[in-house]
Amino acid sequence: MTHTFPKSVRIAAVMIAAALALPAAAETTLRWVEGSDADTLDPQVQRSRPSQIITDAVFDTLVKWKDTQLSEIVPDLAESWSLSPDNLKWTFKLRKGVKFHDGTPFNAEAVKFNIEKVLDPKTGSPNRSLFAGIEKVVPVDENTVVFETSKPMATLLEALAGSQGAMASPTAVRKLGKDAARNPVGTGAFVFKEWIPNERIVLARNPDYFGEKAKVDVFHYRPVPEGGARVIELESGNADIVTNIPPEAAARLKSNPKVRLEVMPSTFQIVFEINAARPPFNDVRMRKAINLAVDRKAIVEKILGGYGTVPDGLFPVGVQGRVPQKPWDYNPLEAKRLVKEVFPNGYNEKIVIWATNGRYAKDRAVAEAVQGYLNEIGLQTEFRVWEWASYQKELYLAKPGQGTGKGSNAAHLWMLGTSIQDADWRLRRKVMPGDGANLTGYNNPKVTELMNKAVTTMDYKERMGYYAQVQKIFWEEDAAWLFLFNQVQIIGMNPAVKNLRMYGIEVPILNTVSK
Amino acid sequence: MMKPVIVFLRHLLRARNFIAVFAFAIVAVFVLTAAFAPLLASWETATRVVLQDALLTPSAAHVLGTDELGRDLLARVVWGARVSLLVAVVSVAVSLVAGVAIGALCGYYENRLTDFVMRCMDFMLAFPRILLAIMLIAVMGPGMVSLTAAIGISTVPIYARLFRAPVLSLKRRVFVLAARSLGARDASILFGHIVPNTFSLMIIQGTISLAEAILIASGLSFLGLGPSPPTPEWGAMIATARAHITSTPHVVFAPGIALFVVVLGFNVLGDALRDFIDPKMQHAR
Repeated sequence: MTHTFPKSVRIAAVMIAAALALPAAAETTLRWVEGSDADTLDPQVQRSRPSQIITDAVFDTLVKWKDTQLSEIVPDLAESWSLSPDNLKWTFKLRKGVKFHDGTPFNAEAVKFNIEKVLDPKTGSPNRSLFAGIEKVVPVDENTVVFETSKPMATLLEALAGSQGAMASPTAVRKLGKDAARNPVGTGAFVFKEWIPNERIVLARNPDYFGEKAKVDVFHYRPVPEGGARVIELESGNADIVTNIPPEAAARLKSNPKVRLEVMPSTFQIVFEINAARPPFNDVRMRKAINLAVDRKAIVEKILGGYGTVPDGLFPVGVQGRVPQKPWDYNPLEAKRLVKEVFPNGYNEKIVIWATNGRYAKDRAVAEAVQGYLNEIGLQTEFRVWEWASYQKELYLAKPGQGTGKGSNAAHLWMLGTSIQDADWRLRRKVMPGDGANLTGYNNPKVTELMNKAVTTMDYKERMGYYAQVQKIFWEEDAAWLFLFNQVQIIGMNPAVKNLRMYGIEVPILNTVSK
Repeated sequence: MMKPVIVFLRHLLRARNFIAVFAFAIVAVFVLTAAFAPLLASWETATRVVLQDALLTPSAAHVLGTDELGRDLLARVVWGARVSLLVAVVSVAVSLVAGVAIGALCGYYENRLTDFVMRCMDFMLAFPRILLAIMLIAVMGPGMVSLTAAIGISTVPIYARLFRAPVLSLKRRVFVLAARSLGARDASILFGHIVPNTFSLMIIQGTISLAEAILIASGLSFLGLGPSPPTPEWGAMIATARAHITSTPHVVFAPGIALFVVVLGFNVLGDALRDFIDPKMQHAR
């Protein structure tokens, strides 16, 4: 005896199967799962990784980095460029025949429009200062544009290669106004389709892209905040690429044949910044002592489960102009000796440590371990764990007249991470006296001079030489921070995914990825 | 001091309520552990970071194993008990004193001011307790003191509501009238005659509140709003350990089971106490 379903059910089943099967056969979709959603899709305003993943795919810049190691700047929307003998005029020859996704032609006027938009304080770009030296942008003809700067700007090309240099369609921005941040229109390898906040962002392949065209038809981005849930998305085959895999899950995924796990370097370095404006760490020997007191290898192996690296310099792999330094040894005896040299009777006040919880990989556990190491060399500690929003507010709060001139002055050590990949910017914010992000009160005239020299040095190699000197001084002579570890990117993917390349800032180059 | 306890225990045994006896034992062990923590394990063992020994499974040297920073879990659970008990007892005491005072005064003097005070209490009650506590900690900054204060303050409106009702009915009773006609002042009537009649309610509610306070304290610590490291706290221990639940589950279970058992103990004990103290309930059985 056989049981059959009613005819209507069978027809419905066939139709559903067809509906499910058809689009899958027709197009390839790359499904990306990340920890959080984009906050804006205006490339000049965005300051988060999820936003940049999307805007990098939709927009192009005049020039770009050749590879993820940032070895060299190469043409993108500009075909070539030249610099006047007085170093004040940059002439860019633009690529011909490029059109924005809405059909607007890309030309010199569009460049002028976009650069003026970043420079307008009303845009609210956090990276506006990178372009501060630009006096005006002059369109000479359809495909030639001249940048006039008030002083030589050695960092102009790097700044143009970043997200703040993205070229958006002037027609779309003028028409949409504020809504342009939700409907990005660029020239990139992918065309923006839809954004349903906290659910998905969908991009489609741009068939008219001037560069290497995308290998997949659709890019589908989904935020899944919980680490464990992201892993399940991967295991159940609902995602092709999942970033930020929790280290505990990595071991399990390794043995799963349906998943490929890749560990890539990240430019994210986690440190304790040290208050150099008041005792005890205004003495460099004390800063050296705590750098010697911490066993970074144990932290990386035991707390991070091996998913991290011991820092060998201020710049991790993937930062422009990286020069590896000699890693700090773990030598508690020498650390104790240094403390004793500075304070023969011991330092009897409490060292105030501020740490974050859930912001960086295992931040709280790492901070607790560091506290343990400091206690081992005879320092007394007081610990405070902060919630991120109030932490940031307090750290950067202007408090003139106090040692560091910031809210940070209330602490001796505070945890922060940075992933910036431009050498100049990564250093400048932290080493130049008076900079809003210089929270430690760091002020070394030699370093300031090197940085001032660098910014007007047009020769790339020579300029990187200055940064190399700064890196060495900051790391070795000044021991200005308590360096902890470099994060790594733990990415799980469908084994069919090929050729995924990630920048150190944890943003992919998407057009070359295939599935 | 010990006599009521013995009477209570004898009652439990006579009623064959062995679950409550067991709960009593749990609470007793918890209180003794908390009180004598320094004798059971040194602060040094509970807080010393030895990364080489991270995440060891239970052994003779570490009876419950070690956590992700290589600290002895047994020592941390023991010291965590002390933190939990301290936070719970102090916060319940604070809220009991303040809540009973507000409730009694508002029930005794019914006027515009007390109406206003009770509306304020209602306003506070409208917020979920944990949210109210989080707001208070956000204002005061995380730490042991603010954790205790936040739990205490967030419990005050519950007590104020709870104790106003019996005062409302008690103040109309004949013995109050008698006291007044003999010339007793308001303060002595309220605190000498009326409030003592609510003692049984205080004991029952206090016991149950202790369980709640322990749970909320752990919840807040779990969210990172508790005492700062390296102070061991069960909620915070669970929070840091939960990442290892698949690989080394004992790290989560040690504080987790301790928390579960203690809260259960207080709740069962509170129930038994109510049955014992409230005569109406005894007859109902």
